Amino acid sequence: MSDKNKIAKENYKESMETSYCISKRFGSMTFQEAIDYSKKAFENNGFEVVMHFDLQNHIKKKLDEDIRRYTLLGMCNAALAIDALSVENKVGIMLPCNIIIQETGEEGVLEVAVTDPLAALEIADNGKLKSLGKRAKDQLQKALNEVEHQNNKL
Amino acid sequence: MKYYHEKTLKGVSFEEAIQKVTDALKEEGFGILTEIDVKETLKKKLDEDFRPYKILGACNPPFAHKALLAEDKIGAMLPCNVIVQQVDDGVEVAAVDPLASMQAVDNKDLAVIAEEIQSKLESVIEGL
Repeated sequence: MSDKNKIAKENYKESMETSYCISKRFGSMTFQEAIDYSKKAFENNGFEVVMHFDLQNHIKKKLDEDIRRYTLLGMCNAALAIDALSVENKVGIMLPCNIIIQETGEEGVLEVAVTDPLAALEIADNGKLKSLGKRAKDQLQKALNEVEHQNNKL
Repeated sequence: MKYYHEKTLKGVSFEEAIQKVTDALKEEGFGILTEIDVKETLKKKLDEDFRPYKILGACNPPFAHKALLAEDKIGAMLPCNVIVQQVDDGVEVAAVDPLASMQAVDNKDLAVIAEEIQSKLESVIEGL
């Protein structure tokens, strides 16, 4: 991959401390496994995949540029979503919650990052939405922690 | 903080509003990558009746590429969402304001890109 397509901020510490995401890195699974285990872990925690977007493939197809593997999964917890929509009718702008699965600069190391709903919903300045964001964050964090367990079970 | 630009279209059906905004986005270089039917999802999952409400995920590839090179986890905010929902006096279309949604990201290079995308999305909504 040429230098011009080098992605910024791939420093481990910076990556783990991103203000708008919660992230984990894995060294023991393939890219497809990372997708499968993530889906499973989030589904076990009440989320459903409502969007699957292969950004690497899209950039290649549209711009003929090579970037590292980068896939987005949009996760929705219907019960939380309907509560959020009832307190803020335009909250769909921030839905679904994205999971980013990407290769890192380090060979064989993959990163799974989840949008921090508290950070995303903060801009709406709606107290009720904030407490829903807190619930969503707890569930997403729990699911993210289980991604590795999926791997261990096999 | 306001995180969207919106317009209520009168005298058009829900489907016509979707077509209109899809065409207008295309003019500005955005393709619709994903479409989430909120009404259908809530019916299927919770058996709840909800008003017609769709989330369109719009992506302008050159901008997405630039944003990604500037910030590795920007995928958290992609694609740019445009929501279309039935309201009492018409069909409301609202597009995300990327400057607001990217506020949590402390990255000057990204802010410049967000500003360009914002002006494109704003003109899409205004032109409806």
